[in-house]
This record gives sequence, C-alpha cells and structure tokens, in this order.
Amino acid sequence: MAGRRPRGLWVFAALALVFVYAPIAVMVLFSFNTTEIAVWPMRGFTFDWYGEMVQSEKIRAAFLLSVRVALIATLVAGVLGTTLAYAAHRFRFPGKRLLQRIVLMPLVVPGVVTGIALLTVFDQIQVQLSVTTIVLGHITFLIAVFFTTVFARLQGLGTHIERAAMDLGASEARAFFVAVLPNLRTTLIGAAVIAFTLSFDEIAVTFFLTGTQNTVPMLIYSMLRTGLTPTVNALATTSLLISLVPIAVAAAVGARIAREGRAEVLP
Amino acid sequence: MSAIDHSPAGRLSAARRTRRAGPARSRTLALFGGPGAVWLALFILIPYAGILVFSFWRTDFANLIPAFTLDNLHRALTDEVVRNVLLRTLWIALAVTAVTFVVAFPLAYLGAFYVKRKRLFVFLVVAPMWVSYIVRLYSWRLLLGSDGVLNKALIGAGVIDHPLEFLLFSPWAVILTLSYVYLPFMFISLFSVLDGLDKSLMRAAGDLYAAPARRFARVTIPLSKPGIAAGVMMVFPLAFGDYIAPGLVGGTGGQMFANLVQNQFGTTFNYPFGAALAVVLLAIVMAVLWLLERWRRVEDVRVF
Repeated sequence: MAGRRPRGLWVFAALALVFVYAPIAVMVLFSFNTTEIAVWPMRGFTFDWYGEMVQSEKIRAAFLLSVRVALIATLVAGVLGTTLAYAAHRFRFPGKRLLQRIVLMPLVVPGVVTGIALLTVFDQIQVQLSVTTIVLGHITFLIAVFFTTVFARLQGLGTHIERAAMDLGASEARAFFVAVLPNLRTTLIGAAVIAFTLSFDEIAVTFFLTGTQNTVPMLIYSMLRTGLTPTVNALATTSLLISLVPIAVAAAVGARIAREGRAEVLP
Repeated sequence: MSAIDHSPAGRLSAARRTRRAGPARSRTLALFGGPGAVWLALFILIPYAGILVFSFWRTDFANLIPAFTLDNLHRALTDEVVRNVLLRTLWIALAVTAVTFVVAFPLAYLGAFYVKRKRLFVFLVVAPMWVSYIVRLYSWRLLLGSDGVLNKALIGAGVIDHPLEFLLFSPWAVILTLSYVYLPFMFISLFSVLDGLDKSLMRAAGDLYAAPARRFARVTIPLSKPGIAAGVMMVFPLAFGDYIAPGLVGGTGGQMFANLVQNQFGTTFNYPFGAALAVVLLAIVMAVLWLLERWRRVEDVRVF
C-alpha cells in the first residue's frame, strides 16, 4: 500500500508466470519435434506424432472412454447433487448437518483413500472392475461439486421464489421445476463444466477402479511408466487443447455471473 | 360452495395448508433428498467405514478373512520402513506447502493491491489449473530429465559438465512438481482474502507511524490468516496424499506414504494392511485440518 511502485514484486510475478507456463510451452514444442527422444534443442518441425496419435487404436479408445465417462458421470451427479442441494436448502430434517459434511468427504479425503475404499467394496461384493466402476467412482466425487455450487446459489436466491410459485397453486415439485430450476441455469452450466473437466482429468481415484480399458490420463500414466514416445507429447498437447474449452466457458460464465451481479467463484 | 376455494385468499390458505401438511412435504423431501442420500450411504459411508473394518481383518494370500486383529495397525505405526516414508512424506508435504505459500503470497499481494486488471491477472495465474494434472506432471519430466531442457541449458551455459541426475527421480523433483501443480489453490485462497481486506486498516497503521515491515508483519499477515489457513488446508492434504507424482518423478528415494497404500492394492495384495495404512493417512490429514481450523479461529487482530 506504500506509494512507491513495487518493482521487486513485478519482477517476481514475471518470473513466477514463466515458472507457470514454461513447462507447458516446452511440452507443446516437443510435440512437433522430429527426433524420437526429447533432446534440447529441437531438430525440426513435424506433425508425425499427431498422425501417429490419430491412428493409434489405443488412444482413440481411451479418448472415447474418457468422454463417455465424463458425460454420464456429470449428468448423473448433476441430478443427484442438485436435488440433494434443494432438499438441504428447502427442508429441515435430522442429520442435515452430517449430510452436508459427508457430501464433501471425497473432496477432502485424499484420492488414494477414496479409490481403495471403493475398490475394496467392489472386491467384496465381487463386482468386476470396468467402465461402470469408474463411472460410479466419478459420480461420487462429482456430487460434491454440484451440491456445493447449487446450494450456495439457492441460499443466495432465498426461498421466496418457490413460495410465490406455491402460493399460486404449484406443488412443491412443480415449484422447483418451474420457478427454481430456471434460476439455476448459469450455476448448473458452470458446475457441469467443472465436473466434466474434473472427471476427464481424474486419475487418483480412477487408478484403482480401472479394469481393462484406460481413460486418457490413465493411458498417459501407463505410457510414462513403460517408455516415452513423442506420441505422449502429442496426446498431452491435445489434452491441453481440450482443457482450453472449459477455460473459455468458465471465463464466459464468470463474466455472465458478474454481469448478473451475483458473484460466485468458480474454482 | 365447492371444496376448493378459488378466491386469491382461499388459494393462499390452501397453499399454506399443503406446505404445513406433513405427508406431502415428507414425500417431496424423500423425492428430492432420497436418491442422493442413498448414493452417499452406498458409495461414501459404506466404503469409508469399510476401510476401517478391513484394517482389522487378516489376509491369507489374496483372500480377506474377517477377524479382529490389531496387527495391521500395529505394523502401520511401528514398521521402520513405514515410519521413514511417513517422515519423508511429512517433510515433502510441508515443503510443498511452504513453497506454494512463498510463491503465491507475493503474487496474491501484488494482485490485490497493485494490479489494475485484476481479473486478467488472476486468470493468468490460475488458468494452468484447468490443464490436466497428469499433463502438468509430464511437462516437468521433459524439463528435468538428464537430456531435458534444464540440464542441456546448464551444460550449454558451462555451469555443469554432466547432466544433474538428481533433477529427476528424487524427493526434490516431487516437491517441485507438487508445488507447481498445487500453486493455484494456494493463490486463490490468499488472493480472495487479501483482495477483500479493508485497506484503511493498513493505512491506519501507516498513519500511526508503523514502518512498512512492521505494518506488514503486525497488520497484513494477521488479517490474511483466514486465507493462509484455507490455502494450507487445501495444499497440505493434497500433497500429503499424492501418489501419482512420486510414482512418476520421485524414483525410489521419493516414494510417499500414499505409494505404500497403493502398493498393498497393486503389487503385494495385502488389503488389510493397506486399509490400516489408509486409516493412518486419513487420521493425519484430519488432525492437520482440525489444528488449522482451531488456529484460524484464534483471534489475534484487535481493532479498537
């Protein structure tokens, strides 16, 4: 707050931003490098690794699996998390505080614990690890994302909307669908973007629930364990490009929320 | 007069009646809250409770045998290998927390007090958080490898003759990559508090002739305590429970506690011992969270 300009801080910030972006930039550059091994400096420019990536059956399968898992998990978690948030917002019932804590547990508890907890249960009831177990795991931690964002929004809205709808003769359920849900649209879009990205990138829980088919992060992980090929650079760069979509959506939704005058912080 | 009163007042009272009526309300509650609650019970409560139960069981090769033995917990707490890894994990997680704080605080301070285009600044710092965790880890492997950019640059500059092997596959690599990955969490926590600070308090300290350093230590830092606590509460557990980064860049000397848990479910198939280790891990994380929560509530800024 001193009057003088903090030149030291600005220099530090510039260095910090280099630290933040340099690794990603190097990775993107290497994905166009002609040589097999990642040796600096680069030798030449090629799209070969992208060609190899597109042709790889394994990579294509992983990509489709990740999209499928993220879509289903986001959808189911969206319904469960939103309805649960409405129940917690609208009603008083015994164990409500406990429920609000339990919902958040998968976000607080390290992924390794959640992963092995689900794995042991599936193992005990003799459920084979498959796409289904991955989806079940993802839904479980995505509910928290929808619950917290929707609950915060509902608390901001208050209860007068559904009260008004019910005074006009709507039933509780109808009041929710007609009066409350339209007001949640922006929040739900934001939460869905976060949820989709979290699911698409998740590895700590997924690791223990994966059967024979790999998601994209799991495939990158196993490629890194077994031996590097520049195809990993291409795959990682593509994955980076996919991540830019939610960044853009988040920025747009953030701006929209700011315009609506109700500040919500998207993580 | 019909059974339903259609006048506005009548409809109002009818609506009030429905809201007060018990069965309809509890039906709606069950409709909205039921599915989610059942899910939480099945996939959160039972599995987490299961971990606790399994930690008392025995194993016979790959078979789990229900029992009540304290052997697993005893081994998890006394085994020397486990203890060494636990100590290493503690200092790695502490180092990661410290590094993220030291990097994030000046950034957040600058952003809150000096930057004009705040939204853009925050976006620049936080955007990499959206990039896949595994991709960010991988990018560091490219930088740190013996043929990596960093070694080549240092050799090219004549600083070293041979590639520095400890850059990759060491605890240092784990600290570096985890700090990189979790920096945005610390930044967001600190920024949101610093940005909301009442700047007149700092001006007041200046008016009362507090030197800048003293003002910083006695006013700014204590006021930003909620942000510090929130940041540490996010970063420490995340770093403490990580097993992917140590697996990829840690080498044998950089394995962390969660890797021990992971091994019991992957290579050695000792589920009960793995469950016991997970219970210890969770207990430590919860204890740290509880301590931070208490620290956060201690009031040490007094404004008269």
